[in-house]
Formats: sequence, structure tokens, C-alpha cells
Amino acid sequence: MKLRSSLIGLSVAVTLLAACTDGNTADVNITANEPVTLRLLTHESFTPTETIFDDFTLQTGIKVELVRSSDAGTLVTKAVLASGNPEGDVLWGVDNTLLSRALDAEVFVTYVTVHRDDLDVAAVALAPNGEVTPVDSGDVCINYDKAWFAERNITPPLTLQALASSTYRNLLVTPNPVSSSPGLAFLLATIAEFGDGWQQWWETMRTNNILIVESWSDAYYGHFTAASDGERPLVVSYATSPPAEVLFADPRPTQAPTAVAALTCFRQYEFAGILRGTKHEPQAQLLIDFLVSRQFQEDLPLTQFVWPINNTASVPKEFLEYALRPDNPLTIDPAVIAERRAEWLEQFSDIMLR
Amino acid sequence: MSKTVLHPAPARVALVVVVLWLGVFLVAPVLTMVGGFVAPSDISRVLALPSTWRLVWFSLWQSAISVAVTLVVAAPVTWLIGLHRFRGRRILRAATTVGFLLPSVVVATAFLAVLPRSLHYTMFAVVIAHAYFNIAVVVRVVGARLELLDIQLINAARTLGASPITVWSTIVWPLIRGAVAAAAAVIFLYCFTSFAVVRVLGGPRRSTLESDIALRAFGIGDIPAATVLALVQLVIVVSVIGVVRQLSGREQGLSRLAPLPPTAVAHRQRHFALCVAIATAIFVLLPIAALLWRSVQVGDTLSLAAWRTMYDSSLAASIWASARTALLAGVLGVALAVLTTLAVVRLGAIGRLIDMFSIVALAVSPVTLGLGLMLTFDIGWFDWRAKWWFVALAHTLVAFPLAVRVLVPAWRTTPIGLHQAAAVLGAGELRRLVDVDLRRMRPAIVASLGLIIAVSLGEFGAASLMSRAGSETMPVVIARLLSRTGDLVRAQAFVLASLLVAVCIAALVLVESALGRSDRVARR
Repeated sequence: MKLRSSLIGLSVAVTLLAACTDGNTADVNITANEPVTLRLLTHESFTPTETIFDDFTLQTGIKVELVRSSDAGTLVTKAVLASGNPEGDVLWGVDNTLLSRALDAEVFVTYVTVHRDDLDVAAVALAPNGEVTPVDSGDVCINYDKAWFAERNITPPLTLQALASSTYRNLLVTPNPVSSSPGLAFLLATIAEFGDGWQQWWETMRTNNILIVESWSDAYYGHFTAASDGERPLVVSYATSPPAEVLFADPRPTQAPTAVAALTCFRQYEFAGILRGTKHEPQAQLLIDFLVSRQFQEDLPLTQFVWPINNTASVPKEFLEYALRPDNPLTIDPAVIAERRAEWLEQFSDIMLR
Repeated sequence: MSKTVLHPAPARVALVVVVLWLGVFLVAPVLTMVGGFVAPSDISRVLALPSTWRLVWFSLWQSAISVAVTLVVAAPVTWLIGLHRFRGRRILRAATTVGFLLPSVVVATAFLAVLPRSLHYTMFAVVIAHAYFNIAVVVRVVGARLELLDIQLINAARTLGASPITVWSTIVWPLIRGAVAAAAAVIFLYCFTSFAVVRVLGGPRRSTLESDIALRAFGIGDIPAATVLALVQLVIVVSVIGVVRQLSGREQGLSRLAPLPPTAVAHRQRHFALCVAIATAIFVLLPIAALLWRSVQVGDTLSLAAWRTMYDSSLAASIWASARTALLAGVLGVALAVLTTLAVVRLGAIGRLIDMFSIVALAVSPVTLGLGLMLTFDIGWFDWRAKWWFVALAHTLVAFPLAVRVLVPAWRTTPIGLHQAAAVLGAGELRRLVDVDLRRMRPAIVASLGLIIAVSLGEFGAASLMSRAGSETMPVVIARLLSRTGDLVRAQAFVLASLLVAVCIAALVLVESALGRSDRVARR
């Protein structure tokens, strides 16, 4: 500590030049009459309608500034390291595969939102005391190229067990569980499905020539036959990918070119929380309420392709029409995930990557 | 003699500034990480893992091959640019630099588009992409040295009957050996710590220490193990570079007084020169063409839709953020590099230590450095995590060692006689520093400014860790767009990547023409 403070002292002179060019030093001491700006830390998939926070600012006088990290893992790692002295006031985007890591490091302060009774019960149960507030949910599943299977008269695989059959040799591409959040969800799906037998399933998949790539976009836009000039008609993606295929196409097809194997789905919940150490806790509470309000929640499906967590939010017709909502998705208790994730990833790497 | 002419005072001041700067922004953050997270048991735990040593071995041999291939690929064009004057020379030189400054995520994506599928996820793809990135290092570092080569020496030797091979082995090679070793060391370092290229083109089964550091830190959340691996990486890079320098020996000081204009390409070499220029241009431009092609592909149709969204505020904001970050990093980085070089060339043993240290700075894992910076500067007035210029500061650390590689060999060519003459004529220490050394160095300084700006424009690792609201740089936004659903969004990513290339080429051509002008002024 002493080393650090003396080094910091020395650095004043060195960085004078840099400091002079900085026009934005206002946040160093906020006076009472200055409007509060909340910093919302999130990941790069957080892409609401750009003007969505204008209404919040209008209602409360509070401005919102987005600070994005590349992915949820980076976001949570940074928040854990800065626990108690956060970079921002509110964090959006810790999911059930990462939740315990954040909770163990006491990243958040508790707050029970005024909308609590409207929220998905299963999601609220994962953080029963308001440690964090659930904000959306989605499912990671096997997606398949409908035309590819129809042309060849092959039945698409409907379960994880079926995937291990030699019929589907060379057909599946998945993002790496170690580097990708849907990849991790898929690994967890296989653990939820097969229990201790999961390693054996992956070994079979290795002989079945499963292709593991770095990221979701490498898999989907690099190899999936329905979305690229790739050669793999099966991909690990989201249950909401088919509506994205329809809504982003021009002209829009009447049917989605892809479909989802419902029995392979793993449910992901995302949470938001107030960062411990924020100087704007009352304002941060208002923001949490806004994030789970009907207005914000109804914006989610078509901008981020996730389901609202607020049951009173209505979901657009075209989303309902093409998106699949599995009835009994696979899932694992976040506490168990937290305890064993590193071990599972290590074992996975040993089987598949080394 | 030289001691009395070259007073060490300015060099000592420079040394103090450099040591402070690196101490505060490089050593302190790394110490924060090591001191804050690593227990002795973590070190033994990580070193006992067989996977650690597999990572070390893979990082080593893939970078050795990459260095060799890069040198071979870059040799012809370096010869052409370094020794000759021809129309389009500046543009060719700028073009070879483009690969270096493109974000590796983008280059890797472009290579996936260009390479046939059978070559995806192979060592060939990794090595060729590494060569693509690092041609610029050879052209800039070795080329800068070649430009200072006295053609008259070669001509004299040829007139006296020496064969081209004799000329090469007795005159050229001894003179450029130091620059080649410096370039090789830098390339080795980049390949050893390669992240995105290995991940995307090599596939998940190939992993360097650096890519494993990121996976452990962010995927698994094991910061202690990530930090230990970062230390292992540092130790290995330092040892390898130490060995390389020992083997390459001290550089010869033999050189001419004032730079002479490079000669035209000899008539009988015209065809060869043309082939070199064309082959290099194709190699460099093919992935860029792929980017442009992708930017007008929206789904299965050709469309300019993505280009029409360019007024989109977030895309425009990222261009501005990149520009100001690169400019500030350029100014600060050149200052730091010139001071470092002054200390290196004037201070003997301490100078060599600083020289060594400046290259070690490149081996510090960006993940460790980025996290360390964020944890070190997080209190009160020193909470700089939200400042846009904090990213620029990090970029100076990532880029200045390269500039030092360019500046040191150039500075060493200043003949002591010039100093003596100036001193006899009454020029003071500072005056000589400015009028003798810095004036002669101007081309090298401009070149290093270009390098730093280039590195800053393309830098992704630190920027993505430290990126700010409303001031995300272009590579960060490109990566974000690439990871999203929707054909239009993907096309936008490639639009931005194409623009990044365009901005970089424009900046480089500007720098090169400024260089040309200052050359003419200096010669008058």
C-alpha cells in the first residue's frame, strides 16, 4: 500500500500533460445541484434501444452512462477485483453461471425492487434476498438448418443422447465453453443431462468429430450452414436465434430457416445489481426498478433476443411466433456451478482441447 | 574523448523520467497484481500442472517458426524499400504496415474468409497470419537501417571485384545484423504472446500462454493462476531475448555522415523488383479486400446498406475516440521513446539495462497490465478508470518499445565527429542534442510516431479491458458488432474495419510524406 501511494504521488508530474488534456474532471467532486449520472456496467451484448434511458432521465433527472466490457466473464472478473470500490454504480449482465462468483466476492448491496411480485418466481428464487435482481432469461440449445435435413431426409437430433449417434458425425459446431458463455451453457446442459456420464458423452462427441471454435459468432457465422457458407447444419446457439433469422432478413421469410431442439436447452438468467461502494445508492435503486419495469422489459425481446423477466411485460407477436420457450429446460443450481465450474472446465479441456 | 563531448547530464534526466514513468505505469501495476493475488502455493500449483509446460512449449515453437517465416516473407520487400527509390515507394511501405495495425480479431476473421476451409484451424493459418502482422516490423526496423547504409561502400567493393555474396556477408550483413536481431526479437515477442490469431485461426486446441492467461482470468476466474502464467511468460521472453542479443553481438557503428538518397532500382533487377512489389501488395491487400467485400454483403445480397448507417452516432463516436487516443498515445509515446533512446545510447551499462527493460515491457501480458492499472489507479484523485486518456497511457506502454527499436539504431549512426565539430563551434549540450542528434533522427522519429499511432489504432486487449462509455475505440466496437446477431450488424463491423484500414493508410501516407519533406529539408 505504501509503495503504491508513493508511486502514485510520483506519477502526478509524469501525467500532468495527460491530465491537462482531459476535459471531463467534473465527476471528481459532485456538488448537490449537479444532476447525478449513474454508470451502468455491462457486457457488449447489452444493446437496448438507444433512447430508452431518456424517459428514465425525464422521470428522475438521473442520467445513465453505459460502460461495456467485452463479455460477461470479463465484466464479472473486473467487478470482483474492484469489489467495494466499483467502477460504476449498477451492473447488468451477471448470469446464473457466474452469479456465485460475484456473490462470494460481495460485489453487490441488496435491494428488493418494487416490481418483485411481477418477476419470474424461479429467477427470483436464485437470489431470494435481493442480492441481485433478475432482468431477463434465455435458453441455449442446439439449432438446426431445416432445409439441410429436409433435403437429405435425415431426422434432426432432438436430444443430446441422439447427437452422439454416428448419423450426426461431422455435423455439430459449438463455441468453446472456456471462452464463450453459450458454450459454457451447453457444457452445463450436458452435465445436467448426463450427470457423471458427461465426460463420456464428450469423448463420444470427439470421435463424432464435433467442431469446437472460439466464439459463438465463429460457430454461427463461420460454420453454420443456415447462416454462412459453412458445412455444419447443427450449431449451439440460442432458442431465440430463429426469430433473429426472420426479423433481420430482408425480405422477411414466412418461416424461420432454422429450428431448435427443445430438449437440449439450458436456461440462462441474467441479473442486475447495485455495486457495493456506489456513492449513489438511492438513485441506483431507481435504476434497478426501471430495468425491470414494463417499459424497459418490453424493449428486450427485439433488441437483445431475450425474454422479459417481468410477467406483466407483453412480448411482440413476431417474437412469440418464431421463438421457442422450452417447458422444462435443463438447469443447475448456481451454487453448484460456482463450486465446480473451474474443475469441469479443466476436465473438459483435458478431454477435448489437449 | 567522447566522454567530454557527450555530457551525460541530459541522458541522466531522461533516465529519471523513463524510470519513473515505467515504474509508475508498468512495474507498479504488475506488482499490484502479483502482491495482491499470488501466494507461493499458487506458484507451485501452476508450475506443477502439465498443461503449463505444454503451453510453454507450444508458445515457443510456434513463435520460432513464425519469426523465420516472417523474415523470409518480408526480406524481398524490405530490400526493395530500404535500398531503392521508386514511384509508389511510400504507398508500398504504408501498405505493408497496415496489417500490423489492424485489430487481430479483424485480421483473423479476414483470413478465415480468404483461406480455403481445409486450412482453417491449422498451424499454417496461424503462421501465415503472424507473418502478415509482422512484415511491418521487418520493413520498419531493418528498412530504417538499410536506408542508412552507405551505398558507396557497396559500390566501392563491387568496383574492386567483390562478388555480391562477399558484399553481402562482409559489408551488408554486419551492418544490419543488429537491426535484424531487433526485429526478430520483437516478432518473437508478438508471436509468443499472440492471442486472437492463435484462438481464432488455430482453433481452441491450440493455446499460447497469453491466450490461456485470458481464459483463466475471465473464463475460469482464477486470477492467481493467470498472474503466475503471466510471470512465467515474462521470464521466458526475457531469457530468450537475452540469448538472442548475446548471439547477435554488438552492432557496428560504421556508417556514412549524412543520408544519401536511395538509388533507383538497377535495370536488370526491374522485373524482380516489380514482382516483389506486386506479390507483397497482393499478400497485404487480399485480406483487406475481403473486409471490403464483406462490408457490402448483407446476408446473401450485395448492398450498401451498412455504409449508409455510417452517420450512426456510435460508429462515428468510435472513430473520434480512436483518433484522439492514437494522437495522445503517439505524442506521449514518442516523448517516452526519445528519452529512453537517449538514455540507452549515452549511458553504457545502465543504458543497455534500460534497452532490455523497454523490450521486456512488450512481454507483460496486456490482461495483467490492464487489470493491474485498473487496480492501481482507483482511489480519489487517482481514480482514472473512467478517463479516456487512461487507455492512451496504456497504449504508450504497449507501443513505445517498438519506437525504441527504430530509434536506437538510427541514433547510434550519429558520428561523434559532428558533436565534436559542433562543440568546437560553441554549441552547448542541449543545442547539440537538438541540432545534431534530433535533427538527424527526424525520419526515424516520424517513423516511430507512425508506428505508435498504428499500434494504438489497432490495439484491442487493453482497450477492451479499460474501455469507456462513449469513447470505445474502433477495434472494440468492431469486436462487439461481430459478436452480435444480424447480417446488417455484421456488415457494419466490416464497414468499420474497412474505415479503420482507410484511416490508418491515410495517417501513414501523411506521416510518410512529412518524412519525405523533412528529408529534403535536412539535406539542403
